Amino acid sequence: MTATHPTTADQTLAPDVVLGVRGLVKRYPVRQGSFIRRTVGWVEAVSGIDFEVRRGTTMSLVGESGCGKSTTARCVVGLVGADAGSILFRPPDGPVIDVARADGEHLRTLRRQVQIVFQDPFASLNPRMTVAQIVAEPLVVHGIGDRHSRNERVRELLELVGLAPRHAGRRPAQLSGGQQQRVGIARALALDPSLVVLDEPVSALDVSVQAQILNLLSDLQERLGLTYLFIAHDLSVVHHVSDDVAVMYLGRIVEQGPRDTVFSRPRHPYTQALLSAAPVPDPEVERVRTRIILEGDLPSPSNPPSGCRFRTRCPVPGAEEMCASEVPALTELEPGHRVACHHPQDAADATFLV
Amino acid sequence: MEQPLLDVRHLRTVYMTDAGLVRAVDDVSFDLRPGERLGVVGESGSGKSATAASIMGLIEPPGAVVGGQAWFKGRDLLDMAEDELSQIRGRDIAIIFQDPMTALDPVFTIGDQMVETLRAHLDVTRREAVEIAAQALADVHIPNPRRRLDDYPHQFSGGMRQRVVIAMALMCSPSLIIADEPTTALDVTTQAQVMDLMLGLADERGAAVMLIAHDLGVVAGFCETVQVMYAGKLVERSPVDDVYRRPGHPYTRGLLDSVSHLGADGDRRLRSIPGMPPSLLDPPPGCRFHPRCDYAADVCRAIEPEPVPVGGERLVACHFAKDLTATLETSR
Repeated sequence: MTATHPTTADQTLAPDVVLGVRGLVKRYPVRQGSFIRRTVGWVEAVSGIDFEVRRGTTMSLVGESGCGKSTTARCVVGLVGADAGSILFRPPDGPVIDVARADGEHLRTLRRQVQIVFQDPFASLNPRMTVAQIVAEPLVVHGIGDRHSRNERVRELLELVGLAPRHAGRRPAQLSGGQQQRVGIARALALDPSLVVLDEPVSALDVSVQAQILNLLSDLQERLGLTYLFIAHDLSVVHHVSDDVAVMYLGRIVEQGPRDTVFSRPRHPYTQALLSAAPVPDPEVERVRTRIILEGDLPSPSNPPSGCRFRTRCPVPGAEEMCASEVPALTELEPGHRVACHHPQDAADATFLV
Repeated sequence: MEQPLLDVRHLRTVYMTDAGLVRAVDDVSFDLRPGERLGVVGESGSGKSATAASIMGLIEPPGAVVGGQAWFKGRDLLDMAEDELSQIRGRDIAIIFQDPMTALDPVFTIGDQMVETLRAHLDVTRREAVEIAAQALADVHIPNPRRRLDDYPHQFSGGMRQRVVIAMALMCSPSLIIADEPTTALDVTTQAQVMDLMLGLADERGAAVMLIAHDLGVVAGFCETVQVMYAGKLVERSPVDDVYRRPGHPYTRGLLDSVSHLGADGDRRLRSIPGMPPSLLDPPPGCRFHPRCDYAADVCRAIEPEPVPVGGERLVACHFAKDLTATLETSR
């Protein structure tokens, strides 16, 4: 695979790839004026990213606020339209579908096959509906089954996510955060999807409950053969769940590869800083590791730095003219490990790691 | 033995709700030495924030502190008039909250707010106060500090605002800083930046820090002593290495086992704690953790364990503390 894809990407996916994102761009208008709203500029939330997710695996997009990870998730499920690039999805049976251009039967397939679980379980559940109604809603919308078979399916789904039959009649406010998230997961699974986008699914939960939900997600993946696109800011959670990882900064992927490669041999200075800053619950490790403290603040996404977007905070001494003038391309440094940096760092120096 | 800087005895704080009386903090005692860095950890509803708010006199109706003392430099903070307490708050005891906007007024410039605080607590002229404020901003690495004094809070980014709050908290040289989830709203690289600054400055000035956090990693990196709370009770208090290496309370171990962390085998299955924290309206009898505990016996269901010394500087509230501290290890 080459370093960059042209925006008119080919429409083919390798047989084991469920999702292929190519040259994805998403812009949001910046509007001004209270009565007549004029568009005065654009924020490019995602600036041409490429990645693939293999069947039955978990690919994580990780980065800090404003990096474009959630926007990417929204584009993949079709909640917002992409401005350029393509999002290709392979249903279990049938030809590859381009999410951006799908209509008719293809759109119906997508809406069944691709589901999302949101960060805030309470906000994503209708407070007036019972758990059973919430979980059955996708079935009703898609006209699947009759009342009896839907009830049966709801019972099955609740059991699948570890909820008791007595929870079926409750409303979201009567459940704990962890139970609410289980309802969100049951709803996402109602239509038997093959790809589930998990947008910060455990960030709002307490740690002991996080562990329950992470274990549940991994059991479900194994049992149902699900493919996950996992969006998160917490590196330890990403480390735990992923097969592959892409690190994003200001709308671009700066480093990607298999999990263990990215976590043990990070080459991009931003990935290194991010890993070094992630707190580790072990005082001995914390005492000996080196923390790379980034100076300054995240630049405004409406006016990102030219060339390498990380250069204004890059701790590598002697960032050159090239960093300011040329966008570094994602380049393969070892099989499957791609880094977008003019001066990839030596992985052997990574003493700040654990 | 050194006099404690803060000595909290049998603190009880409750909330009156429609559903009944919630015992948010239920008979909690602990102390803090001058210059000590104490981490208070626990999940939502454990009472960690309510403990801090009680000490600072910041519990508002329908909540109330209904018992206990909080001795600070020989005086009981819980038995003090509001105007006396407000003199101590901001000068001797600084508070930093998760959301910097709780400490900043959006309609005044940063400079005005800092000068006002300084002049309320210290005997300085306006000109002197401006000097101190500018230096305080420089100490937290705000570029062009003198010029930024004229800016309003919204003109700063999230990380910068929290740095401004830290500058304000530290400019009167407090002897105790209470920080309630100070970096929870920040990104991880900004969190590292802010924690580094806050604790560096606290050290320089010899201030003690009480850091309330849900993130066990943050506490591991920055505290000497860790106090674990569960359902309104203190369940363990130990030096940081002991807590993470040989947790004394089954809940502490459960908490440590349930976090995924970078050093661990990523494919390991997380050991989660079964069930969920109890309702504080109707906590279980005996040990509050017993319904979720692998070691629960009859005594645990009947009698509430008190925190008892288990060797060294450790306190653990578990009937089997002595046996368990010898055997409990985390699963990593």
